[in-house]
Amino acid sequence: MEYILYVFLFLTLYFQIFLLVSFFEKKKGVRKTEPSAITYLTTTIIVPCYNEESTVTRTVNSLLELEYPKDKLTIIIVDDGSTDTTWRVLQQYKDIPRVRLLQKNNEGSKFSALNFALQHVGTELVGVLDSDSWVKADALKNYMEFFDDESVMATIPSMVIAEPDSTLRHAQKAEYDIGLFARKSFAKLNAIYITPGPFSVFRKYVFDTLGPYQEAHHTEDAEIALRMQKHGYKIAYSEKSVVYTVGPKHLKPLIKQRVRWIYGFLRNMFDYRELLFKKKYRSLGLLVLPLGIFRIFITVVLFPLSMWLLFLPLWRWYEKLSLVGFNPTWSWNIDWFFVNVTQLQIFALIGVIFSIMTVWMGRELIGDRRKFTIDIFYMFFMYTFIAPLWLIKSSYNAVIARKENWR
Amino acid sequence: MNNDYKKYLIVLLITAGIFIAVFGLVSFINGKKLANIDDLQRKITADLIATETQFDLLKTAPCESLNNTILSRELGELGEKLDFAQENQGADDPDVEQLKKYYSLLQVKDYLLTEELSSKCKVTVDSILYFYSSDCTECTKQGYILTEFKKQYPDIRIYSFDTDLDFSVIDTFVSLYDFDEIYPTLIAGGDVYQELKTLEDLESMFPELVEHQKIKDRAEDGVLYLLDQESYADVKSEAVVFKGTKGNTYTYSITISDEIETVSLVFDEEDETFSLQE
Repeated sequence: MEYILYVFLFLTLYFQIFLLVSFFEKKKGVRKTEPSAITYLTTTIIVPCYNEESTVTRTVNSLLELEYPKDKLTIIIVDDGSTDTTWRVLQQYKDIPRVRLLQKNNEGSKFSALNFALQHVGTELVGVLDSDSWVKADALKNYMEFFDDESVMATIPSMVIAEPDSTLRHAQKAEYDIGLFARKSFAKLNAIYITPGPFSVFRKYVFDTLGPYQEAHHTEDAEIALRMQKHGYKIAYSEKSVVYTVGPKHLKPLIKQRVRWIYGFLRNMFDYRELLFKKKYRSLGLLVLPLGIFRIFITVVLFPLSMWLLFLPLWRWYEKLSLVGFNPTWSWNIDWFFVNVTQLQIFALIGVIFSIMTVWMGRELIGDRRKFTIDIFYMFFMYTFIAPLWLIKSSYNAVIARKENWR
Repeated sequence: MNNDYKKYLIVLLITAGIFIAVFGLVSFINGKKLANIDDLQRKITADLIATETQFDLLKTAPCESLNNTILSRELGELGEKLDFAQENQGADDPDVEQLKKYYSLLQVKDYLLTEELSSKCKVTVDSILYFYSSDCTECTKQGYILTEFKKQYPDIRIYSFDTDLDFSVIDTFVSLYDFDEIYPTLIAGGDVYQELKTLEDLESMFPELVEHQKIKDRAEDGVLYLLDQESYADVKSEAVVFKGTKGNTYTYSITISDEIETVSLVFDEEDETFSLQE
């Protein structure tokens, strides 16, 4: 049992170091585009909304404020059969020529709203912005540097949790910042396997050649990325393009969201299992996807374990202090007898340092100056006590659903 | 593609390196620890012989020459290491168990020696006998409290015995006091206490010890106060010796360039400050 754990630890560490090495790897032939030489491609941004009366205004306004030539940007807002006042709220934009308002009946999944809008798109680029997110003004402009490379078929942004106002949102902030680090590493490896709903922009060519969005177990944003990877389409990451999103505030919606993501990821991975362990797909097939699946499960073990190993002594210490008070005696001579370490404790420490470091690196990417915040602690808490819930539930669902399909 | 494989290999080497470093470090520390346990065993054995000798000496030697020979201080250090070894290697570890037996024996001897000494030389020695068992939850807490008590009042002698240890000496010792098997059990001044005793409880059991320590601590504060005075600015702390106290007056002798000066300080209970007595 212990040896299995060490094998897991080895794989996890290997993956982390692999990402770290990739992160710092220099990419050959990266050109810097002069600001004056930017070619602004004609772009359409689709905003699908379903009962988003309170947030959609912020989303659309951020698009209207984008630093982008007005004649080259179209915004299509699709009201996907909202039952609240979303459609009424949207009427404030009806006189703006570059905004198109569309309305359709709800069919239970976002992909249909996106495909509905795609029929109205005639521009070179087409993007999506979920109606709970909003962009920084230079986000789209920064993409052009990447689309300058003709082989780049899509570009994804830096996703940041905006103004966290609850413990869970703080935890997600640190988590998303680690995500930035991973995203950068994946980009270097040409192994991005998700084009998230908040502000992924594609060449229209992608949908013209590969077909429209699919239902894809309610994770159309993962499926389209995998489909692109399968066909060798390049996905770039523009770290300077920041998009803000909010994330679920309370426990139940958070778990629901994660179950949907992980369930979708696992089911899509099953559908695209041909990508796994194929030389042709290089790091994506050999490492990133297999270890991505592995990582989902190992976090259930590793996070609680490191919490246990590092916080149990702290707890004991606290218990002692509460009995006898704080009377430290310091000595510079370390008596090795009293140093008690196990391999696992050191690995737990390495893991924690790694997590903090990757948060730091993620924040460095987007120029966030507050590097070490309490968020990180909350994130550990979330992954120790809450993540196992959504992991178990989504894995269970994935297995059950697969059986049904086989019959 | 070749570059890919090179990278996979380099990362593999780094990861393996970290693994080797971690396992190496741990085995280094454990090695040190084993050596330390051997050392502990030798020390305890030597101390056992020493107590034997002291018993013999006690029969003939005058009281004054014996005051500082008792093991107590060393006992404390040995006990601490033993506790730690037990916590990390487990009480079932044969090495640890053997050590604990030796240690218990040593404690019993030290206790008997102290008793003998106090009756012969008419000195009072404050001691606590502490009996614990591994399946008692309060015992861990009692252990913490006793350790802290010893730290605050170094003159107390605490002897701790693991009643789960299959050792006839302890069984005999327990039967001497004839108490129920409820733990933690403390025996102090002939009384048996079978419940968790807090620091305050312990302090109230030994009023003289507490008072004595208070004076000692205050006397040390007085030295610091003296050294702070302008007229004694050049005096080193070793040159100040506490002579005694009478009420709130603390008397010191200060050696200044071969001359001895006697100074008295008055302690104000309300302000908790010292002042020089004219």
